Amino acid sequence: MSYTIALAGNPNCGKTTLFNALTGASQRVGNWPGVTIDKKTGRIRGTDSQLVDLPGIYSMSPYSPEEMVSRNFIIDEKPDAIINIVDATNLERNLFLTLQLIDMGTPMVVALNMMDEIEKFGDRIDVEGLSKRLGVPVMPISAAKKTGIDELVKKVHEVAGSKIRPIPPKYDGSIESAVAEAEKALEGKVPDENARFYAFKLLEDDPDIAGKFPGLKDSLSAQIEAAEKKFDDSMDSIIADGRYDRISEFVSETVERAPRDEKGTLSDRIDRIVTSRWLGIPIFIAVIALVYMIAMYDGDWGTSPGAYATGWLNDWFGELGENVGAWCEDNGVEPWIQGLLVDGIIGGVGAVLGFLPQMIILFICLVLLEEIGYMARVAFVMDRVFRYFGLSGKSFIPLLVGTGCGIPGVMSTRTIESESDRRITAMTVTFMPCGAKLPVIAMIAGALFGGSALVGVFSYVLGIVAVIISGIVLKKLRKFSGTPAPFIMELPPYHMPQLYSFFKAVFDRVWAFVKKAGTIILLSSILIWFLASYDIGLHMVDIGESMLASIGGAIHAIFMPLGWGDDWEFSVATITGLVAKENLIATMGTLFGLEEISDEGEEIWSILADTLGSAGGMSFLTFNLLCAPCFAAIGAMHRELGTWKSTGFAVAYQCILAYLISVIVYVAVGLICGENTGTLSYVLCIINIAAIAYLLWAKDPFRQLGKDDGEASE
Amino acid sequence: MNSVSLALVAAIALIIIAAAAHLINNWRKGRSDCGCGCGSCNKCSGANVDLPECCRKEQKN
Repeated sequence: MSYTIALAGNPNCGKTTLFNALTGASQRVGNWPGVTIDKKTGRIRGTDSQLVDLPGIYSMSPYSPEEMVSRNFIIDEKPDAIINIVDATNLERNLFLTLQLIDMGTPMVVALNMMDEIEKFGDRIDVEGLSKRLGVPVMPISAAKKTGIDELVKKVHEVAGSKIRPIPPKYDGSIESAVAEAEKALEGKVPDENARFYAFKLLEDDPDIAGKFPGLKDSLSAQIEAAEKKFDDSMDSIIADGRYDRISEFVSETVERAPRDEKGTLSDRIDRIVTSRWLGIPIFIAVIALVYMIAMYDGDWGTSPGAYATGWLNDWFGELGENVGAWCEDNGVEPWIQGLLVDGIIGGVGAVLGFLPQMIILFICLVLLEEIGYMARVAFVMDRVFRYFGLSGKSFIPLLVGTGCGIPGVMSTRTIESESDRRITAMTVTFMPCGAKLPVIAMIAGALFGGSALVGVFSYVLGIVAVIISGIVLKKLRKFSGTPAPFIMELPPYHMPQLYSFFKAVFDRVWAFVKKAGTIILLSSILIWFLASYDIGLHMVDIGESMLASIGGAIHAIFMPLGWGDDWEFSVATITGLVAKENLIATMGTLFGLEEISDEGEEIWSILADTLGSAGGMSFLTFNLLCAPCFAAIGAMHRELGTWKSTGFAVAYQCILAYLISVIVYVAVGLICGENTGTLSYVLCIINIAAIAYLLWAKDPFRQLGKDDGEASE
Repeated sequence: MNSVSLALVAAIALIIIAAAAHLINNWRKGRSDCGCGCGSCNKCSGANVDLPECCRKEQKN
């Protein structure tokens, strides 16, 4: 038989791991909650049944998009059964949703996940007893260890086939009599099996349900008043308390906990340090510095594995280019074909692939931080910072996702309920250094700063600062005004990464990097080589007389105050970065490769260092980290912002902010390194600082209004 | 143009066509060129972001 089975549970309780185990899919599992924002489907292995993975939710209230997706699916699509996955290590919190799901009347099985952890703690759960009290079958499983999965599949099919409905636990008499009255009032208006759920929602004054049955709640006022008088509380609080009372009762009767260390678990003890008010941010900075040091450092203390391997690979590509060039000459290959092969393809693609070892090390470290659960702590620490500046901590999850790739980062802003927060976050996610920007960071750090980890730290801090500045400034505009949405985040316990999931995540990122080099970077490099080798009359010319030089010459003056406008190559590289940020490297690899030949073999990256200088290099990095992202990310922004007008505003805003901050960085680094940055840059720097300071400290008319409103309502 | 040059031109043309075809195919399927934008494909750090417009990965049944 084929059934439709819904998989529902709290965020980060192992739902995706169970989905993968049941369907054989390989969905990426994240060790932080709240990023599954829509349902996904798969077929349960060995059956014809369809499994629908619903977003992780805490309750069936209609307060967030995730809750609406889950609730609407169960009500409207009427699955044959529900698998409610429950974190056995945190039953008190998880069973709240379970009780609400039971009220929906759909045949259901509770999958008691993380039973391996329970055993590890020395705890015991009376599964049979819990099942009896909840009125639904309870199956102990470990999604990560894949134990109890077959039994779960068998049970859920049994329940779906026999249409066994849950027997809901009963609450206090006054609640039950109000529910019974509400059910009576709803008779014939809703399906019988869902009546208890609708009754509860009607009593809780759920706006969606109350709106569907206008006037019905008024007919229940006598019962509601009686209950409210008895408990001296509002009806929704009485119901929530009633549920929690039952949960406490069930847990105390069925769970036997082994004595715990008074200082808490190891996770608790680590969290006390890494999420501490004073140490949280310095630890985050130190962790990022360490990651970049492992990947890039090449200085007095030695050479990191990443820098060593990258140096070797770059040399190899250099030799490959020379050998191919020599072979072409020996075989009488046409000069333009030789140029295309050596400067265009090997120069461009090789420049990007040369950073592969560093990328592998960075990906390993960043995936490891995600998998063990550290990144969730970063979100927690940043929530405090964000809230201080009037932004929602919920915005930091998309920013974390955006450190891998801006596109899913922009997409995951859908989890933010507040329209203004959502729009601001979608506009600012790409300020964070995504995977494509990592080789650019590595290039600047390697060519100009001996692979200093501080360049990596600077990139992340810059991204966060740009987001905070944008949040404060944009909130002063009417269309972005509003109070930040509350952010509740549960910290998942630290755990060792699952090897398969870990290596797959690293491999996927590395493979995406290589594939991109072999496709879009390859095509871009060929185009750049063509434009840099021919004039408008399609005659092969020196690079200085090429079409690209003409294009670069037309735009380079814009970037002069940023310290890299004197050389048109950097302006052109910035433009080609719009196709893909790795193109910055490929473009410079091609262009400086062409110059390298004319200069009798000077190292490509040392040309970069001589041309840019420290101040120009940091300004170049700053601009390219903050300016408009690649076209694909702009497309994602358009999908989230809704109109091209808003998207155009976002791109213009990003470019202007990038320009303002780059000038400041140029002058500041120039002062630190003793480089002359020119009068124009100084003047612009002062104007930019004044402009940003004004925008930051100018009165926020809408925030004041919000406060007034709040006070009035109190 | 000698035969080696001709062979090289043919090889480069093939590479260009293959790369372009790959990109066009991705674009038609709604995938972005960086391999992201398709939650089910796990190509990026998008954790368990999964969206209806994303491409679907074949399940091993």
